[in-house]
Amino acid sequence: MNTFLLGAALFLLINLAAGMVRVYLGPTTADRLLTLLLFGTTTVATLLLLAYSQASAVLVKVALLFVMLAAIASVAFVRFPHETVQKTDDGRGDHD
Amino acid sequence: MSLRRRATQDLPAAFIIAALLALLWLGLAEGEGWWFGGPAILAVVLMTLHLSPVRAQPLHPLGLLRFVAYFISQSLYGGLDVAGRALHPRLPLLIEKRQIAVQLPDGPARTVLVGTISLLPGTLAVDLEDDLLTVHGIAGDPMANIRRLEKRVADLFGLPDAGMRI
Amino acid sequence: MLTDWWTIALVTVGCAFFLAGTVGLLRFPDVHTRLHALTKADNVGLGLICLGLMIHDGTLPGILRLGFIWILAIFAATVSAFLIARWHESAGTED
Repeated sequence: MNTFLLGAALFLLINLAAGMVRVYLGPTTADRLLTLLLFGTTTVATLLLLAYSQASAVLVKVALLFVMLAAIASVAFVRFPHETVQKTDDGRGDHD
Repeated sequence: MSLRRRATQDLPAAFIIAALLALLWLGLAEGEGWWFGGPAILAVVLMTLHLSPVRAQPLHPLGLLRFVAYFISQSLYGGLDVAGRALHPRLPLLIEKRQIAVQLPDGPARTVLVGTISLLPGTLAVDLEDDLLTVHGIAGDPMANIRRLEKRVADLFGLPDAGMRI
Repeated sequence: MLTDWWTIALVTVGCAFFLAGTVGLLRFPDVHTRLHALTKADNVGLGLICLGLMIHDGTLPGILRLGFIWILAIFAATVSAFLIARWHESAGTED
């Protein structure tokens, strides 16, 4: 059972890595921001699987803390004015 | 608002928030460290009341049960639906964006509505300005889905069916 | 043991939902459709994994903690999805 849970955790990590391709492709900032969403859920699931495969209760608490922080990153990001972020995005910014 | 009215409206909400936070602390610290957890909870409750006029909205117990059952079955269906579309070779998406006038009253009911829309089959909440809700749909009839969800949320809070308001 | 098989089945199906979510993130054509895939598929995935681990755990505090994590994760995902969708909408970017 422990090996199975560890394997599942590994699968989720590979899945997360595959999702990171979206960060590279973009094309808009919001597309890249989506990966944050993927990160949040996947990390929590991975931590939970690891916690039970290693019988380490501390990791469950780490997952709990992580999930509470997950939304804050998005909240913080959307407070940015569009110009600040969008500039670097489509290359219209003033690059000297 | 008079101090007395404020107290009668805020107190139930304060107790609910405090109870939820205490439960969270119990889960995190396994019943230890209340010397730190207790004051922290008190500080958070005071801060919350100071920042926003929260009011406890009574829930309809049967409505709550129906809502939870509806939410779980529909979010499961929503997940299956979108997974099927993502894995389908031809990527069948019926994309449409619509604006819908929300019939639920302002407050917790709307928050629950906007919060659940994105987890139900085929719909995604994009914006809510005054009474106008922007919904993005990829499957089915978003309009009908939102109306059905509104009825469930009205039921959850024991509100009369919102369908009559023009 | 029979409960072990339930755990294995639920966690496996949960992982499949995560995979579908990522496939949607990569294949869907724009921000809003990708958001559909991530919020719905990943939260069903996490819910199934939590359920599988609840069966594996079997103690009341453990089950409550997993349930709590799932509810908070749903909350975080739906709030983030709404914020990102609105932010993208107001940017007026067409992809």
